[in-house]
Amino acid sequence: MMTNVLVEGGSFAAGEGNFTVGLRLPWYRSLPLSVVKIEKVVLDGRTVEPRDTSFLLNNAQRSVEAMPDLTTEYWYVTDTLELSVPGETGSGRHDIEVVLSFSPPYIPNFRRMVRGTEALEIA
Amino acid sequence: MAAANIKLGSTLYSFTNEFHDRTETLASLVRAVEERRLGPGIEVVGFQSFRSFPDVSDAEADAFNEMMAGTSLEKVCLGINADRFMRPGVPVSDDEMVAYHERQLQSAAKLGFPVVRYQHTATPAVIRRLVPLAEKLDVKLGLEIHAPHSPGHPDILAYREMYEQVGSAHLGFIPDFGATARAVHPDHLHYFRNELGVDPRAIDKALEIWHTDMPVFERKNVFLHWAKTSDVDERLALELMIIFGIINREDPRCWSEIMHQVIHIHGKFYGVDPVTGEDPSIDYETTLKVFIEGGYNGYISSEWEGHMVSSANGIAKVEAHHAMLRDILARHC
Repeated sequence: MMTNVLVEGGSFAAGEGNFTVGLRLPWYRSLPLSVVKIEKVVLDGRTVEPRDTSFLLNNAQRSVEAMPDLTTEYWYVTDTLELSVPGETGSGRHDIEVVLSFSPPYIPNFRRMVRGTEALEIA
Repeated sequence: MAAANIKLGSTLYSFTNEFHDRTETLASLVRAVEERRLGPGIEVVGFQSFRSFPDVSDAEADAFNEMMAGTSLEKVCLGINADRFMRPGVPVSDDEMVAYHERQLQSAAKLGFPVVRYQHTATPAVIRRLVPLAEKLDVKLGLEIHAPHSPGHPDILAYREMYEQVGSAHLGFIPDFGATARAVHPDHLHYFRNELGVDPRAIDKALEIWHTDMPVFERKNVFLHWAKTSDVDERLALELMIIFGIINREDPRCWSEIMHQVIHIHGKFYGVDPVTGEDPSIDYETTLKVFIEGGYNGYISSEWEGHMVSSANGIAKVEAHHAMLRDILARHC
């Protein structure tokens, strides 16, 4: 169900020296980006520090490090957030794992963690 | 006392599965409510249905008002949120909360909703400061009394006391029927057992605690402590914990205490059994009778929350709920 869906099927793609993967907000309503956190990214078995990734949402590309201060910008519930992860885009199979957490701003002391994975074959 | 007049409706929150997976839009859901006769009341969650919320744009408001004007549906309630923690663990000030709620109230007025559903975490101190604006906009402020609260809980008594002091007709209550439930729904238990693979001991223990009379906000802590000392996967224990926050065992007759201030109802349900025609988790016949005998005149929004544990179609769920409600109302009104 939607509370467990993080990675948008078929969204994992290779760019120039990076990969992009589409994330869905696993909640029923929009949330300010300041309550969302990219907890973990693993690309082809290698941990990528979240601070080395960036995201595209609301027509703006930002470092993931910008998220905690974005208290007035919302991730609309039906939008896809595109996460950009640096990596070698050689031919073969590639695997990505993303763990995202969020704390709905109207529920004190509650944090939900969701994990998603996706694979890609580059010819 | 005047006879009860209970009108049906739907909150689009019931259709979260379809909205989230993009098979439906706000427009298509409004059409579905009209065509499948799941109105006449329509309720929405501001932060779900409107991209520009909490400051609904002219474009979004115009589009919504136009789509509603083409139907026979009534706007009955807008769900607003008490977003106290815009940074995790860091509460905003009361002044900021008031300002945040004012923006949502303005949006409610722009969208033509006569009532907003607000949440108890706003606090009486914040809500009383909204009364002048609510009266000016003619938008009523309804506190949703949601599990595990009940009309007699100290947190709610604080609101009742504030309402008494302020004496405004724009302050009211929205009972959520999950607060006066009888059991955890089998669909939830199926999800825990079969989809998550939760240890049956943990499910049994959670249900045992759920059925006790220990203070409502202590139950989840008691369960979590037990889970920790019983070698239960913490992640799965946290999943089980939702049963202490969304549904609570309480006598529906408690709603009589505040009947004169009920301005809307959240007809929370988790699924009507096609064989019995009842929702196993909530005794609708008994609960509705309290409002019928209490002379309630207003709407009830069918609110299917099973989408937390099921990918089922919400429209079908609400259709079954409406059939159940119509049957009960026909027999008792």
